[in-house]
Amino acid sequence: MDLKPILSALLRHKVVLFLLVLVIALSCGVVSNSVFLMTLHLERLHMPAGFDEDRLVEINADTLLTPHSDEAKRRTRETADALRQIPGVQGVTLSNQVPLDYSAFFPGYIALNEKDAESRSGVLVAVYGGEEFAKTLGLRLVAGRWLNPLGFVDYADVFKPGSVLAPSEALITTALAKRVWPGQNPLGKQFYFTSGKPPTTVVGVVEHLPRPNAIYGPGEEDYSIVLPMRLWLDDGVYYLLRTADPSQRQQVLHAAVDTLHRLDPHVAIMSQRPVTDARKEQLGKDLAMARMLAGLCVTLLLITGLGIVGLSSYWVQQRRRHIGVRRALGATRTDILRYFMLENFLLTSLGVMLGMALAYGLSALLMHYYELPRLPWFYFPLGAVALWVTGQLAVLAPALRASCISPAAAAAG
Amino acid sequence: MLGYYAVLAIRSLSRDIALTLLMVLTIAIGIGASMTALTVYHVLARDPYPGRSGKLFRPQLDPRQYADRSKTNLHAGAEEPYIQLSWIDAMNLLHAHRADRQAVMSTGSFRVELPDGKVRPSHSFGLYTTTDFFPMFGAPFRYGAAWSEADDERGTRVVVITDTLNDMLFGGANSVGHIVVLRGVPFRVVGVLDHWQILPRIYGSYQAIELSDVYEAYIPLTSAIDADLHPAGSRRCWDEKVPFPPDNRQKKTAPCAWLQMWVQLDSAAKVAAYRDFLIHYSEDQKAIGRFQRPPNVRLRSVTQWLEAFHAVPDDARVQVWLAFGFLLVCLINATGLMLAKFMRGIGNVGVRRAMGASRRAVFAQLLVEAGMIGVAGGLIGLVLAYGGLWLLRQQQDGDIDYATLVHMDVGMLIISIVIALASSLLVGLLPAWRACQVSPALQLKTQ
Repeated sequence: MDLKPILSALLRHKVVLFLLVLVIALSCGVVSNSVFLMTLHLERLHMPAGFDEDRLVEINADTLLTPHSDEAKRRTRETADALRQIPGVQGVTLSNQVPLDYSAFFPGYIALNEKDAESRSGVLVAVYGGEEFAKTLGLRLVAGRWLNPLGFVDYADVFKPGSVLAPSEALITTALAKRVWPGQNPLGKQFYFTSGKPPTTVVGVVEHLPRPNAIYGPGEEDYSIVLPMRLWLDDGVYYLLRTADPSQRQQVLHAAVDTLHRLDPHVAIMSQRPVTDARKEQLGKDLAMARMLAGLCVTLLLITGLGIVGLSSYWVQQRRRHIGVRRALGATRTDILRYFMLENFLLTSLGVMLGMALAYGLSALLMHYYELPRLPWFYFPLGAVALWVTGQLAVLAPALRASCISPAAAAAG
Repeated sequence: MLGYYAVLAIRSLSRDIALTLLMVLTIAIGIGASMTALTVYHVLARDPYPGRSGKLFRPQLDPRQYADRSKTNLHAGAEEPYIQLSWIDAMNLLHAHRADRQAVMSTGSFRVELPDGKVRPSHSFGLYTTTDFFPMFGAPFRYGAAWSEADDERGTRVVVITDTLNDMLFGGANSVGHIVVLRGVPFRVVGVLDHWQILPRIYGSYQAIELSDVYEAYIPLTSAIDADLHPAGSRRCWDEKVPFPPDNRQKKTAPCAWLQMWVQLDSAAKVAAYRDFLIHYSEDQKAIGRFQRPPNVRLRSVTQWLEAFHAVPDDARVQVWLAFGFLLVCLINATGLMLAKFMRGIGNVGVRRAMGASRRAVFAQLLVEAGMIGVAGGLIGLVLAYGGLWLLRQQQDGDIDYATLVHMDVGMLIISIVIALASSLLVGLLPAWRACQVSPALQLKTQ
């Protein structure tokens, strides 16, 4: 079909045309950016845990024991043993922090030489410790071996003032290995996680182990190491209990809290929950934002569509006589239908072109002010397709009505 | 005249019910979405300490070593000094008394019980602070009063508890003079606070800005540290070889920043003088070898602090942008529809013009019609915004940590109404102007 008559007809309604193109452009720009933001949030929501988070429960308890005393060590063993006796419990560890949790974050740096360790210019990582930590969490080893049980040292001895003690070996995550030793075999490599101590050797690589607290830049969520460190009952130590079956978690939690109260009537429980709760709490925000953005996109397309319906209907009504004349001169119903569909396609395309420029500008603004990544190229055609489909669907009803106008309308007023 | 225009408008609008509804709905959804986002933003960005925020300042010092290149805060550049102070620096600044008021604080958590063991031991968060904290932040007392400066100095074992803890331990009775046992150490209650919540909070130990209120007890800093109540939260040690010591006595001399400080300065001259004081202090510390870097101080007001540390989450800002983009789409869309509507009724305009109505009169009449649609849309939009905020508040279980805070206040309501009215007029302006451009003769002829 010749485009010329369509274009000249369109140009006779410059103001309406301008408004419609503007709406489509804005819609396209906002929709492509919103869909991208939505996927960013969903990505974080579906971040692989890399450990059996749905089998773990955590308890944070406060005792009146003197930290690191012999009494505290004896009581730690007793308590851990008693917790292991609870039916349904497969493993127990005392850990300094919980992955994907939001309370504590024990930082360290992966520095490749002492000078970098001194200036703390290495890669920031979360340092995990705890006897049987890897086994209790169900970490997955992809290279090397697990930590040697004989090489464990006291956490407090490593981190007390003036200490020169460092665990001799460590597990690191795949993502961290790629970041620190790109393209190399990380096994056997040495690093300093703090200055003034001998280096630590990488003996194993685990698939994933997320940091706690969700304060990380893109790609950094998995930067963690596990050191062979033993923890004793003290403030801020978490009991992590592994259950045989996720459905037993509440039951195990109750039994564990009762056990703690039985062993120490003065114990105060600071927190008790399945480990997935923390993640749910943290990532619920992402879900809420993703839902909000999805709602925005759908409503925006709906509004744009309804606008097209309204304006096209007006156009059809205005051109009743013209349509009648064309029908009288031999144009078929399909011709009329196609005319309006094509007209809509043309003006949507015009809007989409403007919209892509707008999407790019919006993305640049978001990048500049909110440290968001650049809009990937495939979101541009995505926005275009969304608007084309909306446009064609919206114009269908008015175009069908137009095609039903009888040739007699040419004569009527 | 206006009444007559209104009658004409209703007659015209009821002729095109579907189109009218579409326009009203478009405007309503746009207003509803943007007002919801704007209210959330407004709640998060509001001044948490009205009347005080211009007078409270946060001193920051930079004790970092030359070689240290780690960033001190996620939101700040490499030049940003620590946001917390070490015990030595905090005590030096506190005892210098250079500000009108000054308070040092740290967060901690501890076991709470009664000496007779009648309640099961529970666990509370508390603020270890100095006495000026209460007047500086305007904490209201139900019973008793704050402790004295002498209590701060001597480390008297006294405590101010919140109404929540008072209800739990003493059933809400006046508990002044009673003993509570915190982590095995008895403290005497000297005051009970009335219900008090200011969020976002700017003196927590975990982050520069915190959005949940958890404190149940306020304890003199010195007595808390001496009674072995542990400070919690984040801390920074500037000497890699000296990690944060577990023992409270060693914390007092450790090269670690773990205390927050706010000072009250009642005039601009005093602010400038205090800044100079901080610079001189840094120079002195450098001279005696405690600090390495040249003076690098900050003295931010509450407003500057909220701005610097993103009191408004980026998500909320992005939402406002998106919501207003959305409103714009809705308004342009409504304008287009309105134009179509007026053009359809252009015959009437032609007749009215031919019968002697002035262009201005026709314009006014069309604007009334547009205004009616706009007002209807705006009102429904407000209802939608209330619904949107209600939905947000339902997501209480931690999904959005500011959810419980979002309410539309009078200010926001007025802004909403103004935006709704302005939008409706904007929507009507162009179509009305276009429609009254028509020349009467031509229009009648084509009839």
